[in-house]
Amino acid sequence: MFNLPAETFWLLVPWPFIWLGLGIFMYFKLRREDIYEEESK
Amino acid sequence: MLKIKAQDIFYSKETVVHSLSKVEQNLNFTVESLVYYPYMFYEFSFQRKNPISPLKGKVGCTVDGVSGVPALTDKKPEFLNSNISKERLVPIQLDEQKARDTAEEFLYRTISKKIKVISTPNISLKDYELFYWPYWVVNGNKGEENLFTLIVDSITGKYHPLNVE
Amino acid sequence: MNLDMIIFVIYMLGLLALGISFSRKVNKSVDDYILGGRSLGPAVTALTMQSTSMSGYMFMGGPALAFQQGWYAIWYAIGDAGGSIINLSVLGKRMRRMSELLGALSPIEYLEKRYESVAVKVVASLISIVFLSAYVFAQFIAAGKALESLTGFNYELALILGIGVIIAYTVTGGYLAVVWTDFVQGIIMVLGITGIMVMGLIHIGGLSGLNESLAAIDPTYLSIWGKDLAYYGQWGMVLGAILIYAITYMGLPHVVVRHMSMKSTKTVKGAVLVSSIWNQIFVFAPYVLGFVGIVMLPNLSDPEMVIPTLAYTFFPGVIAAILLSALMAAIMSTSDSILMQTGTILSRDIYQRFINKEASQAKVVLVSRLCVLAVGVVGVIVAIYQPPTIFALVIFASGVLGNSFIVPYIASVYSTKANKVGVLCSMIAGAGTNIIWTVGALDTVTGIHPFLAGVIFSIAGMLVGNRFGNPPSDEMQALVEKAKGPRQIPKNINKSISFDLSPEAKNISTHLQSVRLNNVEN
Repeated sequence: MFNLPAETFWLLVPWPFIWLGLGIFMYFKLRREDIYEEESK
Repeated sequence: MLKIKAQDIFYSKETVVHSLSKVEQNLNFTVESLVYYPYMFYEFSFQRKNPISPLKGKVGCTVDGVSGVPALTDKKPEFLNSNISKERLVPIQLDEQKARDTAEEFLYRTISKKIKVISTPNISLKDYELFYWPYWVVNGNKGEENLFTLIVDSITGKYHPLNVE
Repeated sequence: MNLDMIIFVIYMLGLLALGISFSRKVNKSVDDYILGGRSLGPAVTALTMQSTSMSGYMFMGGPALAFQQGWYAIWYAIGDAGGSIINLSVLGKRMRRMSELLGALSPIEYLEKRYESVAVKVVASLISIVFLSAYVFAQFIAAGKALESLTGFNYELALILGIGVIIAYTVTGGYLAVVWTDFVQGIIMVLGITGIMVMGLIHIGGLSGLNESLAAIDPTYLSIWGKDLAYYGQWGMVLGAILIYAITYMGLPHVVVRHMSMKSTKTVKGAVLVSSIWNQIFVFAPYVLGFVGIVMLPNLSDPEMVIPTLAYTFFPGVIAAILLSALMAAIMSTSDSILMQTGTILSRDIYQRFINKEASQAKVVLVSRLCVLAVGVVGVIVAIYQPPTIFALVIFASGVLGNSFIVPYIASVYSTKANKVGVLCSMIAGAGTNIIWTVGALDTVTGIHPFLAGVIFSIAGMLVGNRFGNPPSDEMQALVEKAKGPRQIPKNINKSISFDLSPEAKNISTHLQSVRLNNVEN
């Protein structure tokens, strides 16, 4: 894909998606901590 | 009974129990007491005499009356005069002069990081208060058994467990 | 004076005006305190954070590496794109708790208090001052090149001019250091990079077309092992490349200036999400532009000028000049904060602490200023006589900082027994290894990246050194236990604990216990 050799493609390209996933996960994890404050009001 | 200045409670006993129960439905929460924690509040006026960009305003910080750790504050807190029994006051362990020096040093340090200045800024003490911040002491129980204890900041609602050994 | 220079001057004056008008606005809000600060919303926060890291490396260092090595360079980008998220997930909580419990107001104070050692403070301070300066030198070189392009002066003159401007800006107060100027710059640079990327990729036929062209010139550009397969099989180099940025974020922790607000504040979760998305695009973009440079600018003499040259190629001179001006301003802003850090470490942590305890605030400020000037002078000398590449300097400086501090910080919260001897050995072994490896070019002999070697030796230093000397005091060990977090607390409650209340919790516990004891006695 993208005219890249298979080795390069599979070793490099997934990473941005992995980080993005981790970022989204952290967002929801931090959001759960905030919900408590919402409930109190 | 001692006469002190304290911040007024925002979250009542009932609200705290109610919110905590929502977070963890399998437990029941009981409020054991209300404890008052000492802080020294300092307000300094700040002036940067700079022809191009003069700055004048107020900065405030608090110093933890037990551990002496300074913290920036965003507004002057509002105090109520109250009578509280001595047992409920966490005793102050910091002497006033040291607290004042800590506050000043802290502010200089913070100012030089955030608002950099040509010459040392003039800061002068404008206001000082010793005040107490109320925390609820709340037990988390399963039936009759007490599993853990929390302090709940009665103004911000934040909580933290106590480490009762 | 050519058009570009005029644009640059106008741009700088514009920023100055923006900065001044905003600081005047601050004066008007009477109620709140100047430094109290309010959250500006996740997008603005994220963009300003980004703006301070977008600088000489992103515009010049990264593209140069990509230009020279091809797709191998992406290993560095991968670490960079993930670093801050890893830091947040792995270390964030425990270290913040520990900082609160220790009452530490700076990363170096944190080390000094946790390891109960003045020696640790001194060594940490010295390493920080030297290598933060080295990092700034990279920014100086980038500034010199940007100005050379804008003004048409020769490199040496542009360099002196650039450094002079940076130092003057730092010493006189950084008027531009207002959130909104960082925001504006961030937008300009984002638009600039995006614009060049879009134009470049269209011109070349997208990512597929780019790779096809690269392969036609030299197929090894597409290999993960680098041009001419220079690093073939050398996973040590690859691992080092990933780690250097990923872990370096952990090296100097985010020690919060503790803030007591009258109302509760939300976490920066929005900023975290925005930065994660952002990073995936903008960390990789400079490297892709480097690849575009390989194809479009085969005769480029200085690989570090890929982006400016592409800017002049695709856009009218005015736009390129604006972009370069924004870069110059970003460099000033980045350099300023790092220079202020070094100045503070020297003046407060060393001078005020050891040399002159009674120093007046005016003297402390003076020492800080002199430090900044000294760094400037040394910077000029280094950059003129033996200018390293921006990339090499950034990797070296951040590598040594990472190698010195990562193990001590991780150990500070994950090990109760970590003591000062272990930490001293770790810092010296880590820094020393990286320096020797880099200067001696040992990576070519061993196939191991200097940073990776530094990590290995700093861990070894910790393990060996920790066997000697006294263990941490009982109180300190108890604090480390506390920082680990409460046990036997149900999961849902555990999730929302505010660790900034740790010191209060500790003290209230003690108080309640003594009250109970008194009641029992009575």
